[in-house]
Amino acid sequence: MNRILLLLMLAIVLLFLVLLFLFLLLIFYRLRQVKRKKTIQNYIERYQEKWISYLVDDELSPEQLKPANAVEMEAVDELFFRLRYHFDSEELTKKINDYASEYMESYYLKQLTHRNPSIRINVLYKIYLYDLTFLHDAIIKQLEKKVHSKEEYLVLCKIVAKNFQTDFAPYYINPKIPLGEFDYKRLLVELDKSQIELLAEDFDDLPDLLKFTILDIVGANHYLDWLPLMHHCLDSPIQELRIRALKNIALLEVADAYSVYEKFASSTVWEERLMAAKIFAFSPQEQAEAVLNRLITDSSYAVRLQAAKSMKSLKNGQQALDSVITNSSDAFAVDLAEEMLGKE
Amino acid sequence: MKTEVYNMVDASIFSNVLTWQVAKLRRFQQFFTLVFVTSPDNKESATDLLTSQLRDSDIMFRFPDGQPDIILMVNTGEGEAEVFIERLARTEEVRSYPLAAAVLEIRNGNTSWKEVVKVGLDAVEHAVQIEGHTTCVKDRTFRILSKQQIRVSIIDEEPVVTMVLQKLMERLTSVQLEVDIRIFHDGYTFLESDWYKTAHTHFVIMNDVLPKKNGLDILYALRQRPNTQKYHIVMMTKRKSESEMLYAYENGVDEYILKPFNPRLFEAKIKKMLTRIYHE
Repeated sequence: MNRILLLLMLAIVLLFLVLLFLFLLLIFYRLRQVKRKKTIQNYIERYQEKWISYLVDDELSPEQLKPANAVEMEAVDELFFRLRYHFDSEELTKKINDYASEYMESYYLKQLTHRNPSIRINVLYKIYLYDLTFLHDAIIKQLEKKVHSKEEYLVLCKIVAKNFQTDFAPYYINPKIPLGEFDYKRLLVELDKSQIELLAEDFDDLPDLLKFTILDIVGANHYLDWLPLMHHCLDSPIQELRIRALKNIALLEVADAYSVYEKFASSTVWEERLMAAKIFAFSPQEQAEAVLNRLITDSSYAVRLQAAKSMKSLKNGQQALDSVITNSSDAFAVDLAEEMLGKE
Repeated sequence: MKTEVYNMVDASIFSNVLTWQVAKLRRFQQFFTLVFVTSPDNKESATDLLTSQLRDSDIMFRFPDGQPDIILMVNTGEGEAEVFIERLARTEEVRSYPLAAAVLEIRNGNTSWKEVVKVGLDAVEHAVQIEGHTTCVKDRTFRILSKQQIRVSIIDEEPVVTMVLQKLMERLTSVQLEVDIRIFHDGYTFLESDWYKTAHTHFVIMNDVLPKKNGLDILYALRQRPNTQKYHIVMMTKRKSESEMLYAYENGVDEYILKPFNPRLFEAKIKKMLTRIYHE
């Protein structure tokens, strides 16, 4: 009995010692972290004026600011972040690039290949923010790797698209990780018009989600010269692509092939009829009235409502709606027309 | 046809009006131009002609004893005064007597009315000696700005930002301009200070988000002060929303700058604002 008690007490003491050791270890790490942060802050306070003289004023050479150790590199990185968060210029980007490529390449490479994903993500966002072009090969190498989180892959893609205008397309077209529509939107919203054009060179071979996103970006950015591609999509067997094309043609507000759109007013798919109703808000009065008069009596409420709204936005919209109120035998259409005119 | 000449006044008040105008120049940077006009051959007819050519905002001081009449053109530069002289020149066909004029643009707030009159009379005398039916001499003695002092408040939580902006603003200091800069890291300290309660032209460069009192609080406080036009407010923001931008402009910011921004572009914008204040 005593022996068991003794063993139990020994186990408690041992457990206590292990816990004490862990506690001391945590305190040690915390103190080291605090000291490191303080050293970084001290460095920033001491050298920020010199750094600003180098980066903004051209008064110092980078040699005079050479980092002495890893903590100083961390401090310089923090300073870069604070500056680039608030200021942006080609001159600033070039100077940060020159300095980082000269003295901090190993610092960024080490973090880029770190086994801790959060450190990798952090450094990727910094590379994106600072436009560190000298890390091109390392970024491409990372992209070629098979194991990525989606977030990491997206930032890598954004870096390639931002810093290397043309190398990005294969990673968007054949992503190593399945991307959703929202992911594509995050990527494409950063591209300029020429990059979107490059991406859409072989439009028919692109993944469907990428096609949808390209159409949405074209519509949102009002790229009027993309109307032929939209028309091309209207012949697609993919229903969603046809709907997106119609939706974005309506957004462009300069649609011109009304006979093409008219057939969608008789489509069996209510979304296509809805989009056709949207497009006819911008067509000449006579063409629009005939189609919208039909759509205002549609079986779908959304289509009828859109047709009434489009009718109201026509040049003689009020007359057209009055005519529906007077002549239509469809009580729902009359209701909507009255609603549009603000009548009870 | 004018039925009543309300902007022709007696010369006896000229010294008072000019002293008052120079004080306004010092306080509000409202420059003005004086045009001295005389016709040695026919002073009476010349005065009538001048009266008919005056703009509604000009004031003519009528001097006796053959002395030149003086026209005060407020908020008017040399260029616009020249247009007036051109109008006088176009009357040559309907008058037989010559006209001599001197144009003095006044931008220096440290001048006295006696100095101005002396220089103006010398200039018009010089114009009389020039051959021609309508002669004009431009004297630029008072066109040079007196040294201006402006105050700058930079309000941002981030020391790196305030330091960069301070460096940019220090570059504005010149022979003509003394820039007095003070840094604040929160809105409350700024509003509690007496720093902004002076008559100086005052540039307030601030972030929209600040500790304690934010940028909009400062904006409201400054725009509610009497003489609020002396504050030139530049607001910096990370928010790209157009509605926020509209709101800020509607409530009185002069420039709304999206971060991150190019420091050189910022400097150019401030210089443009200064040019508008002192040279237009």
